[in-house]
Amino acid sequence: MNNLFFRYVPGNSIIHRLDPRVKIAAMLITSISIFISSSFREMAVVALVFFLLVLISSTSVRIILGAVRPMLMFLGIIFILQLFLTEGNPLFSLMGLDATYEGLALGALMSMRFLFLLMFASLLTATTAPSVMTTGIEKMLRPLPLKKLGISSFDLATMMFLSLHFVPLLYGSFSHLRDAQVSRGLDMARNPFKAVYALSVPMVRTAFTSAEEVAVAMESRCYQGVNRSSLNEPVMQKKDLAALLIFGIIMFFLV
Amino acid sequence: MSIDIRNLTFRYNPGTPLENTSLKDISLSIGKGEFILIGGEIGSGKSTLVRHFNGLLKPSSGQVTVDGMAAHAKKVKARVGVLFQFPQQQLFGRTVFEDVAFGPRNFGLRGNELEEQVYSALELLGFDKEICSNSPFHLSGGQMRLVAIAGVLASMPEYLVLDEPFSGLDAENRTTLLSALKHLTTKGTSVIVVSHRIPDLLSAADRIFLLDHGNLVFGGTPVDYVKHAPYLPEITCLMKEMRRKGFDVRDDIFHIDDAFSEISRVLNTKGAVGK
Amino acid sequence: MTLMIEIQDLLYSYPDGTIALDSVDLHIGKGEFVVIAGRNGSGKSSLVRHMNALLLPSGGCVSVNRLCTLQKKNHPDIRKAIGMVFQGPDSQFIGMTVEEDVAFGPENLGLPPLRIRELVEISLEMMGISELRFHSPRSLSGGQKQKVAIAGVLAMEPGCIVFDEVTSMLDPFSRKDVLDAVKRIHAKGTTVIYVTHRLEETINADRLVIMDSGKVVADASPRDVFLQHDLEMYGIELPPVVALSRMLTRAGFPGIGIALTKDELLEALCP
Ligand SMILES: Nc1ncnc2c1ncn2[C@@H]1O[C@H](COP(=O)(O)OP(=O)(O)OP(=O)(O)O)[C@@H](O)[C@H]1O
Ligand SMILES: Nc1ncnc2c1ncn2[C@@H]1O[C@H](COP(=O)(O)OP(=O)(O)OP(=O)(O)O)[C@@H](O)[C@H]1O
Ligand SMILES: [Mg+2]
Ligand SMILES: [Mg+2]
Repeated sequence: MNNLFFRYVPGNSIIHRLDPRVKIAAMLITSISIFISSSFREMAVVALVFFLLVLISSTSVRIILGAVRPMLMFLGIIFILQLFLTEGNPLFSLMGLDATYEGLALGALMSMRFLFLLMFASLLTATTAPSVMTTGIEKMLRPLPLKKLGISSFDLATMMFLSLHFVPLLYGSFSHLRDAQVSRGLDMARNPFKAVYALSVPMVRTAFTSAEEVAVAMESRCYQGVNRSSLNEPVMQKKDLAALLIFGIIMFFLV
Repeated sequence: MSIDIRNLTFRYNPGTPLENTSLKDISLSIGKGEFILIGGEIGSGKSTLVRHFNGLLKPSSGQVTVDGMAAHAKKVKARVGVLFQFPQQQLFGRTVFEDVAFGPRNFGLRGNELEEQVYSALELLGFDKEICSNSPFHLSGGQMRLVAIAGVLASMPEYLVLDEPFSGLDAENRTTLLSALKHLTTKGTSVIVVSHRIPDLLSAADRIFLLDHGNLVFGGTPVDYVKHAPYLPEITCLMKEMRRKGFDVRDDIFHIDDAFSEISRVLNTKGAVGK
Repeated sequence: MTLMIEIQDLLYSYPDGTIALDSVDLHIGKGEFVVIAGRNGSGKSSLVRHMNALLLPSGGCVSVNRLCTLQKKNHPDIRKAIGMVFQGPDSQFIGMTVEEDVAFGPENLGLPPLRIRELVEISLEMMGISELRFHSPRSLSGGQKQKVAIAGVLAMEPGCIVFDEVTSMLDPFSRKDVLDAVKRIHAKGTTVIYVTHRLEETINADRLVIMDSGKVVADASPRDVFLQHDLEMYGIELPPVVALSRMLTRAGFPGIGIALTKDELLEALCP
């Protein structure tokens, strides 16, 4: 069972203790840098920064891998598409399609971009408690004139939080469902089509039922979307701002 | 013919900060037609153990074999039926019939035979045929659990493993289920029940296993249990205390009828002496 | 005694036509400890779901602190007054760690962070699960989940808490922890409504309400209910000690009556 997918792992490093807003802003800066970086040299810099951060936060490599593993197929598809669909010097050909040197480079770069995005995101979620993240997002959104659109920053932040929450929730119900079906004789390997049917139909229903049950649970615990407070109210300190500034400058010059 | 567990150790999330050794070096074996109870405090590893019986979890070390085959072998699934702790997770069908029929259908049953098996499983648990067309999600908590149990019974497994089947059932349904299970053991099915109500189930059991923090700390018959176990039936406690107060009563009793005859006996003789 | 919950002539049928509650009258005062029991499908969960407006009456009326549940604008106040722990805790978790989940309710009440921290600590402590605080509620054992669900409601300190079969997956020691916590909050003035199939947990209750096919069929002190009703008829099993004392009384042994606890029976047997 893979329950390490974007898991929060409690810890006490500098990165764990940073203000969530700083981390989210840094994540934005990083994503931009990753997308404008266009050479392997720049990727190497990104990689270096990443490994430094992992070291500082002493996050376990397995947690990062846990987030990457389910997406590997997706990365592979990106790579293969680029490999075959880019024009250039032919490398080899397969079933009438030409793989090119340019494609190889571009594919590698593209999949590396996504890989690093994923890994940075998992670093963010591994070092930031989800509720802290929600509060951070909510605080960042508060100055925006959302009221005019008829939603509160609390609603928006909770929506984000719930979608964050729903991935593991659905994953959890999926694995329970799979366990139950497999115990009752569902053979995933011999009969994949039936398995997809026997799992997806109830899965959709489960998703709706759990959405309803979560809604009931929230309502009965007084969730109203306004004036929430938070267990861990972040306080932006000078050192948080300094950290962001330094990080921004480093990323700017390196990439 | 048995389930054999040798030196089973299991860790959740090995190699991460969330690592948790939930079973430690467990060895036990369960024979045909036995009625087994598994108990222990919450979080002691019972459900984790149950998931090894049909290979849903693979041991971190040690082996689990069912009739000589590795527990994760495909053929084992048909022999070992498992009910999980939260019945809502097991239910998924559009109707009760569909849900109960899922297992036997997967094991190759069709047509009349299938219908018969589904109905007889539901009947065994005291349901009418009418319930078959209801949605399993529109039932009360206890009814859901019964339907989930029927779903496992309907495949007629040789080993029936039930995680907390009695929780949430009223007295009547508890009795119905218990006698259904006992009936199955007489036909050679092994029944393995995880429960917090061991004191109430002692009279049905052949053997009892207790887990504590992932260790197997007790394995034995009901009579051994009453002698050693950490939590005893209220009736046994009562008899023990009476004995301490100087009454000449047996204190290895856990059934209320035995307690009644034992107490009446001493009260009568005491009355006679008094006269 | 001031009234907390007032249920008058309540009728409820589910959208598919199942009549779950039928002319139920129930008045619960502030600070009472009321136990509700009855066979599977007798309507217990449906009844308590009316108490915090998760279900609305098809007929009759339910009001909490004089606020009628039929009016939507009353719902926030009603839910603030009544906390609810559901049967089958698996889907009621909102937080990703135990600590966050327990904090969710107090956060919604807009309490200051320090106060939330304090409430979370107290309720985790009360349930004996402080060491699980950073675990994900989803990767806990069944009983641990049940304790987290209870802690989440305790942390909101509502004036009334409804427990729907919360001890069904607990071992005898944990069950005692929960019952002790219930007794403690009741002693502090919280109204407690406690649904259970185990009548031995009801000995300390002020009232025992028995339901059958959507109706209230008995409502009195536990001792009176045990004395006056044949509970087997309603699919309910007497606690072993009560059953034993009744068997002895019926067999003609004098001076026993209905003993509620082991000590009471011992007292009667060997004075
Ligand atoms: N998916 C999981 N990931 C990580 N740890 C888990 C997971 N499931 C259970 N655990 C942990 O393993 C231990 C044993 O859990 P298990 O569910 O086997 O207990 P149990 O004996 O069935 O308890 P209960 O009576 O409460 O159901 C517990 O400490 C629990 O927190
Ligand atoms: N969502 C639903 N839709 C339709 N009928 C329902 C629904 N939920 C419950 N019922 C029916 O309403 C009746 C009362 O159910 P309720 O859940 O209140 O029982 P309960 O007393 O809580 O039982 P248990 O002890 O099994 O939890 C039952 O007959 C049940 O089948
Ligand atoms: Mg369990
Ligand atoms: Mg119920």
